[in-house]
Amino acid sequence: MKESIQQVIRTIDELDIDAICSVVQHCLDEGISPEEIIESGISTGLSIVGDKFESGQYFLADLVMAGEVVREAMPVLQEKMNPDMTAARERVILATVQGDIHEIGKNIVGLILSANGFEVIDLGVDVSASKIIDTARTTGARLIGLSALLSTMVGSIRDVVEASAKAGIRNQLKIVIGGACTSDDLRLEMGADAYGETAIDALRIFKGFIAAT
Amino acid sequence: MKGYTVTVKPSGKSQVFPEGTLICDALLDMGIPLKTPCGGKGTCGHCRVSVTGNQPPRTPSEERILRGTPGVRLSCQVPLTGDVEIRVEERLRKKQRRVPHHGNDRPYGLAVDIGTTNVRISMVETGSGSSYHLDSFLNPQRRFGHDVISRISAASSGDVLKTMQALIRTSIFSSIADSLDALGISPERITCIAFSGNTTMLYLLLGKDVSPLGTYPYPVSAREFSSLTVRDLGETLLPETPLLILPVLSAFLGGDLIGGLALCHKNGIRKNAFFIDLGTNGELFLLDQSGLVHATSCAMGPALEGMNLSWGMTAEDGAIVHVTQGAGGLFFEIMGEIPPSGISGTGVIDLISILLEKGYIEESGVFASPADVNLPSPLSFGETDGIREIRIGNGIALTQVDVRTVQLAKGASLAASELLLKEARCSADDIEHVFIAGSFGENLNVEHFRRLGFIPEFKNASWEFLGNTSLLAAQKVCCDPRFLETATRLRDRTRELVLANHPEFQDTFIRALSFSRAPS
Repeated sequence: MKESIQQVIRTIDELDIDAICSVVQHCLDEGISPEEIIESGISTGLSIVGDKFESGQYFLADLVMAGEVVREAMPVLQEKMNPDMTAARERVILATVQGDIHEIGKNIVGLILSANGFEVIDLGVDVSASKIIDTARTTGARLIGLSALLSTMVGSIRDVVEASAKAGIRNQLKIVIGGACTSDDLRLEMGADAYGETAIDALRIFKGFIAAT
Repeated sequence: MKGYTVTVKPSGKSQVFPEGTLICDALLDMGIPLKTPCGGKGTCGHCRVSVTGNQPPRTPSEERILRGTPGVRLSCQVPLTGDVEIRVEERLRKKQRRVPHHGNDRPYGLAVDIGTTNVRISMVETGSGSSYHLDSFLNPQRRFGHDVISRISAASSGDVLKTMQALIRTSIFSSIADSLDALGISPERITCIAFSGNTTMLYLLLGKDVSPLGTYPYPVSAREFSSLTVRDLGETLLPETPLLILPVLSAFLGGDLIGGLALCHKNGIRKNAFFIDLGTNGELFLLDQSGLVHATSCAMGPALEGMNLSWGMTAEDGAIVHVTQGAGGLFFEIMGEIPPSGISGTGVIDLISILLEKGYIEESGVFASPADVNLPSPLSFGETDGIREIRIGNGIALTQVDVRTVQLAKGASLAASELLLKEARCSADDIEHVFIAGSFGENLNVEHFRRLGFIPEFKNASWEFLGNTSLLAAQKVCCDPRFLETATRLRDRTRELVLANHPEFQDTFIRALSFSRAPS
C-alpha cells in the first residue's frame, strides 16, 4: 500500500482532526482517486477505530471524534469526485423505534454514515413504523437503520418490517438493526436484513448493500 | 422439553427441572440458600456442590478453581443433562449469624430491600430500633436479565412473569424462615415486614403487571401499596403479618429513593442537599435553596455491585473489598482473609482511583502504555484475547473493558446530576450536604469515589456515605408508623426530571465519561 494512503489510515486511527485535510490532499496530489482514498484509506482507518472500540481502547467520545475527522476530509474529496458520483448519494433513513427514546448510538451511526458520503435522513426517536415507511416512499431511500436500546421495544422492529411488506416495498428495502438490545438472532426473529454491532459495522453493512446492487 | 430430577442430599427433597437448567438455579428454586457472589461467571467458587449422576464435563473455569476435588462442581457452570443427586456443603446450609439478645418477648419487624442485583434482609427490634443483619443474596431473577428493563421485557411472557414473582417470594420467605429458625425466634414475634426497592422490584413482588413500566412514557398503575398482608403474596409463613411498603413516585423512582428522601428529612436535612443511591438503576434527588425536591434516575448497570466486570463479585468471602496504597506497593483487603477470588464494587472504585491518581490509567480511561510506567507491586500489565488488562494476582485482573463499564456507569450518574442541577437552577457550589447511598456491603471510600467523578465536585459540601438507605428506610418503617406517611408526603412534593429525551443528555453524557476533574 502507498505510504500516503497509510498516512490517511494512521491519521484516522490517531483521531488527528488537524492533520486529516493535508494528508488527504497529499494523496490527491499524488494522483490517487477520491474513491480509492475512501476505500483503502478512510474505511480501513475507521475499521481500526472500530476494533479499538471493541477492545475498550477507544470509547464513545473517540468514535464521535473519528466521525468528525472523516467529515473534515469530505469537502476536500468531494471537490475531486466525479459529479455523477456525488449526485447519486445514497439515502439512509435512521430512526429509534417507537416506544424508545434513546438516540446516542443512532446519532453516532448517522455521523459516521454522513461522513462517508451517505445522505442521512434522521427521523429522531419514538418513530412509528408508518412514518418510516412513508419517508421511504417519498424520498426513495432504500436503506433503513433502526435503533433500539430497550429490549421491551424490539417488537417495534417487526412493526417496521411488516409495514413495509404491507406497503409492497419490502423487497426494495434493506432494513438494518442495531442498539444495545439487538443481536443477529433478533434480526432473524424480526425478519430484518442485517445487524450491526457498532457504528463502523453499520457503515460496512450499508456499503455492502450498495455494492451488491 | 425433557425434564430431569434433582435430588438434594441428605434431606432427600427432589424436584423436576427442564433440561439445561443450571444446577445453581434449580437449588435456588428449591429454597437452598446458595451464594453466587460472582453472579454465575464461575470465578469465585462459592457455589460448589457435590454432584453424582449424568453431568457434562468440567468447564475450564471449574478446572482452574476446583483442581483435584473429584465429584465437586461449581453449580453455576453445570446445566442439567440427566438426573442428579446434589450434596450441599454444610457451611452453605447453616450460616453463622450474630445472634441478638432475644431472651425476651420483645416484638421484631423484618426489613427487606429488594435490589435489582442484591436482596438484603434485616431484623429490627421495633421498640429500640436496634437492627441485625439476617441475610443477603443475589436476586434470583437475575437469570432473566441484569437490569430492570430486561426483567420487564422478560416478564412480557406470562410464564416468566409468574416464575419471577415466585422466585423473589420463595427466596425471601425461605431465607426468613431459615434465619428465624437458626436464631430460635418464633415467627409469632414478627409484627410486620417492611419492603423497599425500585418500582419494578416492588411490582414483581406484588404480582403487578410490569410491562407498561418499560414503554415510553412509562406509566405506573399504583404508587402506594396499603392494607396488604403476607397472605396476599400467597405465602404461608406468618400469613396475617402486615406488609409495609414504601411508596413509589414513577417507573424509575421507586420506594428506595423515596425512603432515602424521608430518612434525610427525618434527620433535619431540608435544603441545599444532594443525594444519590448508586444501584443498578441510579436514583438521585436534590433539595434546592427553598427546599423543593427534584429527582431523576439513570441507568448505571450493576458494575458497582460487582457484576458485569470480568472478576467482579459481591462483598462475600474472597472478595477484594478495599485497596490502599503503601510504601511497598498496593495492599488488598480481602473479605474472610482467604486468597482472593474476585473484586467487589468498593474494591474496583479504590483500585481505579489509585491507578488514575498515579497515571497508570489516563483521564480518558485508557490504560497507560507499559513502556511509559512501572506498575506498583503486585500489579502487571497483560493481555487476554486482544483486551488489555492490569493483573492483580491469583488470576484476577481489571480489564480495559471493565474500566469502560465503570465509565459508562459514572458517565450516566454525572450527566444525570449535572442536568438535575441545571433544571433545578441550582449551582453545585450552593450544595452543603452530599449523601451517597448504595448497597455495597462494605464502606465506600468517599475520597476514592470522589476521584472517579460519579457526581460533580460539590466543593463546598460535606460528603457522607450513608450505606444502604433503602434497607435503612425499611427498618425505619418497622419502628415508626408515621414514617410511611412522611415518605408519601415527600413523594407528592417531588418533581421528576426525565432524562432520556433531554436535548442535552447526549453531549453531557459523552463529556461525563472522562475521568478528568471538572474545571473549578
